[in-house]
Amino acid sequence: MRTSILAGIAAGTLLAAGTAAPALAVDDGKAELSVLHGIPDLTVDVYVDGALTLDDFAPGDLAGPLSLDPGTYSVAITASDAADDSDPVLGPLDLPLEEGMSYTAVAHLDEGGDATANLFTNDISATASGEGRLTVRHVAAAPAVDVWADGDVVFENLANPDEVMADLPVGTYSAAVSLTGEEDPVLGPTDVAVEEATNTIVYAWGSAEDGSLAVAAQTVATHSDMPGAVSAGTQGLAADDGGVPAGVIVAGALALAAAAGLGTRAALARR
Amino acid sequence: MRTAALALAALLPLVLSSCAPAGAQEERTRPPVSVSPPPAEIGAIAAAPVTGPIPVRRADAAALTEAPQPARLVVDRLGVDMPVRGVGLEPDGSMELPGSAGVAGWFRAAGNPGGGLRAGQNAVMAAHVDDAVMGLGPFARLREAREGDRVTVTLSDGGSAVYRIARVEQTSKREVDLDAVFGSEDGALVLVTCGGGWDADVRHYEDNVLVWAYPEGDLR
Repeated sequence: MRTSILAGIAAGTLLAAGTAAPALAVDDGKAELSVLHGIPDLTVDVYVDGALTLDDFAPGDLAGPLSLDPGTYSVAITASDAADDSDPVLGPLDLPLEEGMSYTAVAHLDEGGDATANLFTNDISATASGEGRLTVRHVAAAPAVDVWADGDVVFENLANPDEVMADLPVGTYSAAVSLTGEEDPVLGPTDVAVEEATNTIVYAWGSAEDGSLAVAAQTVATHSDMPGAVSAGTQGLAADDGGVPAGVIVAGALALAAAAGLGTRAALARR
Repeated sequence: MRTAALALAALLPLVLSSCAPAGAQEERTRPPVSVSPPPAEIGAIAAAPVTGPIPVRRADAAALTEAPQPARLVVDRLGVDMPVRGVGLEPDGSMELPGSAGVAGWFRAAGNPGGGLRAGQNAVMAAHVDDAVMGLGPFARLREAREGDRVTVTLSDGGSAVYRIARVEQTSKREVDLDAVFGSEDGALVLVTCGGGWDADVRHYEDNVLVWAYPEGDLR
């Protein structure tokens, strides 16, 4: 689990915030797996190590995330009316999952329109404060594409089954996809929210030829750096010890100066 | 010298009134409970290695819509009613805070009362206890919080999340367990400010004041 920040604080001064242990995005000792179904017009069953795990899994569905023990899992995808996994339409595939990593297994079409599958590793390294991560994956039966954000090409010539990613300031971007070198979008524009400490993963899936291109999306928490200190006061006005806050003396002296002459004299006399 | 003495005398009541001891520090064991509603599920069919229901949802553009974020914080009994804005980290690793004590900072990379990926993680809001313009801010009143006080977080979409205060804690900054404050999956709302002694040399308070609140109906 996370280690205590106490050591970091104790080693520094009161002012040094130190470095807090990050909040981990994946359970300790586990691997995280999501499964995306990106093959149009084919409802399937998913078997993991021979056991029916996802029943009637439909195109455009996302399962998970599952927190799994690290290891290699055998996944077979069958027609949804299959009695077992002896006659898969895809697989069996070996999915090697490492501890502390986040994955998305995607069943999809290759550029030529044949069913295939890929195991993508989701980047869950911490983002800088004020930034989030955007990942775009091309898993459609379509030529290479350009990815647009707010009217500019941000990723060029992305081909099936590749991915691109960037860390961006938190905000909402208008995203679109065009065929490489063209301007008319084949997907979008659609609003994409980039959130702090989050990897927003956008998929282009389906088939250009069949007119079934579509956008799928998932969000994955990244590791996140936690504050090493909360320094939430600036004047000493709320102090509860015998010490006299500097700000109080200044403010008091100013008030006194403002009232100089009349009330002050009386007050002094009473003392 | 007489001037300083008078200033001190005049301000002593103010200092004292804001120095009430922290509220009852109740310590109870609280089992971690996730408050986020699970996504739509299909029945798990299970066998090893995957057990339990597996969440399945449509992976459509709805996932691209940002969860609503905290916009306003209200603690009725304490007269706290202040805007909230999202914050991150300062370069030194401390929590970024709005400059005005009248505005609370919500730490974006921990829990969000409005839901989203970290809905089960503690949500943390902090504000300066004082500033040079307004003097004591609303969070100076947190030390007067009592168990059961109602806390309402208004969200950017007009919705709201309601919490009940469970306890107030004042802990030395050297000992405060910020890991538990920010990282725990308890679904708590933790309001943080400063208090205790004032170290004029470094212009910092020595303690953190923390108010722990839990979702209404989630009795702990």
